[in-house]
Amino acid sequence: MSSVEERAADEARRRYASFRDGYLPPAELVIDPSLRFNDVCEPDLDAITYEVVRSKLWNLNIDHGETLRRVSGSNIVVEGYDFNTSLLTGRGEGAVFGPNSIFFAGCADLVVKWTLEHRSSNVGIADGDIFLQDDPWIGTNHQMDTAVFGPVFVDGGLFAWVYNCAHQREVGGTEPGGFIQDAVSVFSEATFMPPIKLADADGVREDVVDAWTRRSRMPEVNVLELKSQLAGFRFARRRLLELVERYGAATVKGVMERNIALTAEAVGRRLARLPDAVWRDERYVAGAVKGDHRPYRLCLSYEKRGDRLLVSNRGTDAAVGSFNITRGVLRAVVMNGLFPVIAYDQYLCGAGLLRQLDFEFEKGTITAASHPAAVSTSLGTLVALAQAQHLASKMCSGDPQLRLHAFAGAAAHTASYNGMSGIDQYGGHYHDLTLDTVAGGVGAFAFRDGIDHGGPLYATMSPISDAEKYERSIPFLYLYRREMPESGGHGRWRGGCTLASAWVGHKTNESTVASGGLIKSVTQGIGLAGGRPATGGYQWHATDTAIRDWFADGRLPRTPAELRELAPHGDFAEAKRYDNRLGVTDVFEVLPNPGAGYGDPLDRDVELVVEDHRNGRITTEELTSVYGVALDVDGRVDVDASDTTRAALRAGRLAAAKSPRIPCAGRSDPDPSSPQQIVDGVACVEDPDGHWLVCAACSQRLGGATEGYRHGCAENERRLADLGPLFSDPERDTGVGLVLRTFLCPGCGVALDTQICREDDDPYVDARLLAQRR
Amino acid sequence: MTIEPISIGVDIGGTFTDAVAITASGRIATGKSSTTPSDLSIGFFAAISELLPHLDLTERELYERATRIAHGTTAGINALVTRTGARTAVVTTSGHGDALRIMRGSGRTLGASVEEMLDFASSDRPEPLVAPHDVIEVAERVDCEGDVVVALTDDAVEGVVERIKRGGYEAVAISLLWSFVNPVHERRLATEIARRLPDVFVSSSHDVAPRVGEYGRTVACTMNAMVGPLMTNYIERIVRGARERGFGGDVLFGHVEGGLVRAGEAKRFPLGTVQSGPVAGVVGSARYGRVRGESDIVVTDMGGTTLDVSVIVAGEPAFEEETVIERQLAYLRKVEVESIGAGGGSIAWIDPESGGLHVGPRSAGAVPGPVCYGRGGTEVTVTDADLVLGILNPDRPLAGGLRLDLDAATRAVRALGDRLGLGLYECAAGVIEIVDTKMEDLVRRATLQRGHDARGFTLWAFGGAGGAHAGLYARGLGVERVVFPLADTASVWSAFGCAVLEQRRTFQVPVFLREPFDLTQVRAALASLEERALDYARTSFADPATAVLGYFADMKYTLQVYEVETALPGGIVDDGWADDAVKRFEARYSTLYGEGTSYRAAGVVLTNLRVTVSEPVADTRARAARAVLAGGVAPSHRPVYWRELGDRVDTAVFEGMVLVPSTTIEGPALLEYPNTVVAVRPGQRAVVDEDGSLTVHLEEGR
Repeated sequence: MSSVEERAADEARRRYASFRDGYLPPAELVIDPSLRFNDVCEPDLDAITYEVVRSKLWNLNIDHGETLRRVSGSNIVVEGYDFNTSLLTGRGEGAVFGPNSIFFAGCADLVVKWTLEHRSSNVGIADGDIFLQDDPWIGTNHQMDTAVFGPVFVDGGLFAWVYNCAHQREVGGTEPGGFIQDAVSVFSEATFMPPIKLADADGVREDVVDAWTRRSRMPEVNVLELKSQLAGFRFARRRLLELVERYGAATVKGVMERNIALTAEAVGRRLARLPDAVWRDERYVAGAVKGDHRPYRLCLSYEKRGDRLLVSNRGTDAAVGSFNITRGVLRAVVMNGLFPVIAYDQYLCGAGLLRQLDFEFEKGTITAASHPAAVSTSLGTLVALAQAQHLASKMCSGDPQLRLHAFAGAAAHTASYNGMSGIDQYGGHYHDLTLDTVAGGVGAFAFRDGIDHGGPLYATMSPISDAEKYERSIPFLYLYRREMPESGGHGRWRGGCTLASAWVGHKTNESTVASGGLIKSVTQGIGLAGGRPATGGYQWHATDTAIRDWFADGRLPRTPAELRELAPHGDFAEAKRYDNRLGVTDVFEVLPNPGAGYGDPLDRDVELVVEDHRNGRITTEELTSVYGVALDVDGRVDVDASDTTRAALRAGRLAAAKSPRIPCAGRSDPDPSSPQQIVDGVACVEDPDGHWLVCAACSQRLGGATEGYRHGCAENERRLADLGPLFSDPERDTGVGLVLRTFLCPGCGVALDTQICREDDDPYVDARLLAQRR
Repeated sequence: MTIEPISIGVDIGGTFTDAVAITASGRIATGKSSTTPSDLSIGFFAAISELLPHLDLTERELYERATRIAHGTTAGINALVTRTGARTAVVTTSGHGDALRIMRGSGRTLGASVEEMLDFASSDRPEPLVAPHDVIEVAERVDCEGDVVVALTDDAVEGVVERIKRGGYEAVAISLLWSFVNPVHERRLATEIARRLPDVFVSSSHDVAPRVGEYGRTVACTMNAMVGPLMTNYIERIVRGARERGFGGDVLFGHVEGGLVRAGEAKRFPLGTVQSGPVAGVVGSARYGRVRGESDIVVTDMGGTTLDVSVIVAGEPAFEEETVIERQLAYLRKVEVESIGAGGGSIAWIDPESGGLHVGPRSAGAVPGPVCYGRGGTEVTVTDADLVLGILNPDRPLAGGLRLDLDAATRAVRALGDRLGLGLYECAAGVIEIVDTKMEDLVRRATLQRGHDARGFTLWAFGGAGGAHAGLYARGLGVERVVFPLADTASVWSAFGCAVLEQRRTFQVPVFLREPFDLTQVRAALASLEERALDYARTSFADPATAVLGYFADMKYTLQVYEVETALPGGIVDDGWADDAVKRFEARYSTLYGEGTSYRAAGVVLTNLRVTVSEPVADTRARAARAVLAGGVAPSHRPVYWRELGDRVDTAVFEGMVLVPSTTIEGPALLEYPNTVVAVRPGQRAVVDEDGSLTVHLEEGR
């Protein structure tokens, strides 16, 4: 390894490499030695002082966000919470993070560390400086996500950093708003800037402000948004200095460092509970760009040794179309997925989580794209997040404590984009979109049903607007915004349900709606522990309907069924089409993503099944065919008949299943005193003749502990379109037929896991021990 | 003794019902009685009876002499919390009956703390307000401009009436899309239901909450219906009871808009009366602040489970247009009172993960309560820590006679300290330091969110725990003094507020006008509002000629989110008027959100017009009415641990009620009042004001 001096001399080469492949900070930052730090730190704090100052830092950071929100007045920030704030140590360790868009927690330290490495020599980092940046290869989801950040100096030394990032509404590019759906390279997207000095001790540099805002269709709005971020930044810097004054620099830094250390310890302790193993997810995602609807492969694996986790995306397809992300964003997405599962109580302390993580990302892939791949649409971010959440949950599902925070695929896993534009009833151009697509359900947990309309969990809050508010700015009428109680994925626990929204154009025929986003039939809402997937939703369109005749007759379609009665000629909208007509007789319906299921549906408590039936959450047919519940003549559960039905269904699906690819004979009983599982339902057992993964329900051996269990499972396959009326056929959109493959214990027939794949795909190993346990 | 007119205020709280009488010369009498949940009117009249000995009057004399009885309450809330309100049907536009279930996708997070939101696995949307079968969708549609798209047919009306009849509903909430722009369908349904089913309470959304946004409007309308029947009954019992006792005036009811309304209006819009008690306290503070010459006030009320914070700027309380009730968002114009989960009952706990000490937000409440209550509480609370430190007096029973068990509190705090390696007093003081720090930050946020810096404000402190803590949580805010207003009245402040409030009602109409505003529409809207306001004055005020009208508009910048209420200029509505209105809006916007925070180029939108009508009442000038003891009083002493001094110090303890104006007390010291104790921290100085209020001056330079 070269010395720090040699690496410093190598600064420009590393800088250009980060521009090309994306920045990930090295273990040791290379900072110009001329930069003076103030590293005072009191390591020995009493419990009271720690809690008092920790609480102050937490509140200061929230107030930073509130200050930004107040000045901004932007709907994306104020109502959409698409922003966040952070306090970092002098060397860029994120100690405190705010409760808005969780995703940014993994971006803050990237831009600060990059700035330390690449701006400390030239242009220099000094007291009073404030930097600005929106370079996706350095640490931002897409060009709209604008970071304003700067150093806080105490006694002449760099003591800490204050950071905020907010989604600005308009920063240029070929389409207003900046989500460039048709981009095949970054050159169609808004021009972006690596960290640049927005202000120094003398004040804001107007040349930089001009350079920033000249890209935009609404430069005044940009100015205002910058002002809001500056106001927030300055507030936080001032308050931080007041805290230093009140409690002393060493104490404040001591609290920041201890906060990080405590989070790292908590995360490490939780990771240590798990067996040393590797968990992996491989999935198909479709919708790269208009005209290319083929499925591409996304891979993610978590390799856990001791109290550390190594994250890799090896196997992911090369970057393509407009749905890519950079590797810094992948890192942020992985953190976003881990926070709620293993750090739910750690106040989003990014540096603490990062201390236990290592990354090995394959460059040039969809999830670690190199310049000049297109990165603006957020589609890649959402699907990568769906994958990261899934894998974090799967990894923790085997542990009885950590399992309590695991959840199956949540809303916006198979994101829609329904941008609308045209001429409104007043004759003016309009461009807008509803956010109904995020009001889906949270997937099921290991011990309870998911959350109806719980949202996608990339932000703490993700509310949508009232139908009336949208009708005021978009020339359409909501025919309905209907809860779809049956939509949650099936399982021992049900996924949270979504809604369905249907619109008709109103008072204009020159309005259109996009059926964009990922290809809906290729769902990313994958279940856990044998739970069924959630539909990826759909977009449905019919032109020239008799809706106005219905109105004249006093009729309104109230449900998807009635909408199809109105327009039997309607159909799923063409994928990634941006100009579906929404005139006064045209109707469009969108079904956002519900949550996926957890556990085998045949294990669902029969009384809950009956309640589901009563509440319209399952049909009478599903009561029997999915849940195996039989009712007596009075409509009450017939327990004996249900047991018989369930046994028959298990036997039936085994009989219909393909035999295990690598059959594994024999049984090994899990040790009841330490029933370690690698995933929920698959126990690790150490027998004299080997180390096995076995079915936790019946002790059937499924495979060697280091080989994985899936190849020892019977495989039951169904076409996705056959999963229910809310699913559609991928073959039609993508040209490739995909199946839901359920891995069944060959001994008892319980569903242990699922995978969505091509029929001829070999199963990948989703969980295996790294070494035999002692 | 001359016959003085008397104003009576009554506030019903969870535990006590408080009454205050104010004579024209500013004499104040207070009474307290237990709240009687089975029939709140019993406690209501019992509390008034408690005033008699202080006024030397018989019951008859008091009721005959009273010019008015004003009443604040939290009565209706309980029905919403316990889901024991009226059996209610919700009638809404076809296709939109699920708005109360979908909750704009915010059900998981509404009303939740950040910690709760981040713990996804423990969060869920609340049980919807009504069951699916209680929602009736009716075929009708109006668009955003008020044009009827699908007409409401006779058959549809008939169907609704039939379903309500068959369902045996006691109340119905009618909330149709865009009804506030064109209420024709809502009115027709309401009229027909009222005609055919006269016993059913009818609530219409265009009437209850005329604002854009079907979710919050429907919640408000539905809650109004749910509390309607029981509030009607309750209001009638109070009015009847007062009349039977010889009262000839109007019983007035507190309204969350910050004024009083007559019984008829309270029955029509009962949701407006729930939570009127705390609001009366805030508005009372604003009014009384004017008398004291204090116009920028942070009002804090620290009780057992929450700290309530309100901000008064330039003599006016802040308003909010929507409020979260029982985890549902309701459109309800209301004086803003922010509740923070920190109080005497907040529990100190050790995080098993980090080993760190935290305080709250979980509270021991009244049951089991703090360890020292001896009701089964085992976890250290803030009150236990106060007792161990010596701030609270173990020999002085609480209201209701409860004695505090110092030994039990000491054992519990010691055990907690042992786990942290802290001594008894260090641990107790640490618990207080943590909770006070948190409250300081939350009070700062409450002011910051309204665009103000707490510096330059006076902090007023109420509530059983306010006296012990305000001196600490005010310190970091930069305020210079803390006032315990009319110290002996502070514990019945909401009742005091009711007694000094004026009658007031607000009428509003939503508009959506871009610049240049359609002035014909503005003129017509204002004229119609004015007419409604004056009508109201004619039927409600003793002397309608004194009615004072106020004109306001909500305005916002296009492309920006915040609506700002702006006082409109008077005079003729012409181009000059419009310019003036926009200038006022811009000035107000920059005050609230900072200079240069507007995007003027996108233009200004006018979203609501509002006319208020009020019947002015004279300001109350209270005077200290307490026994003046010659030569002052000698304090008692007890050891108190002060964290600033790092030691227990023998501390002077004064009987607050006998201190005469101008008395100055240097901290550290304690002042004990019947229902609270004020801690004057080391370095602070307390002064008894002319009106009997206690002002604590904080340390200089802190």
